[in-house]
Amino acid sequence: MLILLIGLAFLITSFSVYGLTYQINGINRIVVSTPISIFESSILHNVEDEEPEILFTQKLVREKLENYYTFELSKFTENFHYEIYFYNQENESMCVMNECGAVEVSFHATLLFNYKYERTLNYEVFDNGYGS
Amino acid sequence: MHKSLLVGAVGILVGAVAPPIDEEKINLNITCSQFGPYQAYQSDTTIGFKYSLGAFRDSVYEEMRVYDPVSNTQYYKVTKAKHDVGKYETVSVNFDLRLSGYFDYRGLKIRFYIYYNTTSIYDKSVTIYPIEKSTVYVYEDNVKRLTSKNVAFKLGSRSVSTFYDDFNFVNTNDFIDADSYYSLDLKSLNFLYNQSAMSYSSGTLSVYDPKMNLKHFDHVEGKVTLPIEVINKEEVKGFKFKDSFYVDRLDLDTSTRYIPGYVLSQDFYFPVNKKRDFLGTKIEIILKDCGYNKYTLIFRVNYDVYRDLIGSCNESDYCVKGKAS
Repeated sequence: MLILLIGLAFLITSFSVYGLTYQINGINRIVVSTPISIFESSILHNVEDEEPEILFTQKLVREKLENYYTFELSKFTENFHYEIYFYNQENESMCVMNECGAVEVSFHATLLFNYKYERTLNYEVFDNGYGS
Repeated sequence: MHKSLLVGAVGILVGAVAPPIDEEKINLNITCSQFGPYQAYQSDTTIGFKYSLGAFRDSVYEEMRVYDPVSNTQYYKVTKAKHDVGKYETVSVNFDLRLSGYFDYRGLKIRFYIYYNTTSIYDKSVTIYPIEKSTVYVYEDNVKRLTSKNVAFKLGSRSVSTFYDDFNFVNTNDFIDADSYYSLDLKSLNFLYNQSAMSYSSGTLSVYDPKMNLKHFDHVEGKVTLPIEVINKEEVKGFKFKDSFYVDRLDLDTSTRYIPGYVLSQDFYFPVNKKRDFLGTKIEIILKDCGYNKYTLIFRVNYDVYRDLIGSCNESDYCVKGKAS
């Protein structure tokens, strides 16, 4: 009887650990692999400027990340949130403009067994120095 | 006795043939507009000019002689009646130029005279040729220099100004060299012309777009045609688009018609992420009725582009780098 109970507990624990691992792997894959194209396609071109600056548009980044995370993460958890912080690349000060050169996404999710998943992602526009 | 008679006779003869002219008092001043360019065998025209003299002269008359410039055979001459000219009086002179009968590819040599008594106080000649209206494929025909003969002229008091076309394509690129795939920058295309203002009737730029990526433009035989202008201030001639465009700042979708949300721009943009479709595409610029000779100039160039504006870090001016922690 005891052996049966121990076996059952082991089975439940195994399933739980499997479930947690599945959640962590799934969420991690989605978060870490956040498509670069989300950020590339959030750039509004300043067509009137002689030498336009290439910057992320806050509104577009927020909209696209919201769509992406809501759709992709719903398979794994509903219990997540994230903060988006736009900053200036030169001094990492907060960017208060509509268009900014860098963004930090702090991602949090509470999983099985109250496991806290946290990731911080940074994306920056990089000038390759070709003079454009 | 014989010697003094001989000297006297020579003096009388010299005086009769070539009366001394006081150049200061003649002070000839001619004003006229430009004559030409003319087409071969075109209808007859009138050449008119005005002149004045610095002193009263009687027995003044004007003459125009027209020659074959090759054989120097005189075709005809027109001599006006003698008349008096008051000091600084403006005299108008008109000659009929019989182009229909004499003006062919050999050209015409025209000589203008003003006589005072029997002495010429103005003698200028000019040779002009008919315009050679033709279509010039600048690159296909490897044309580096396109220089015409004199096709127009203007009489001056001391000289005759002649006008002709001289196009220099030596430094004209046969490609549009764009550093990054973005806007269609025409700055790298230019040519030289021998005058600051070049006349032309129209200019168009056609972009080959068989995949119809430029969705807001009408396509004819797979190409989009846009009106352009020649930047006509200096001897270096460049191009610019005639009309403004409306551009979507997100995907650089361009239109000539207003679309809500699109911003006004003077530049034409290629849509993002379509570099492969436009790399090496043919761009054709056609300028019609250029210069005095009304040449049609056709420039067919390739759109050469090296990098994307935004994309992978190896092939773009800008890239997005990300890291996770």
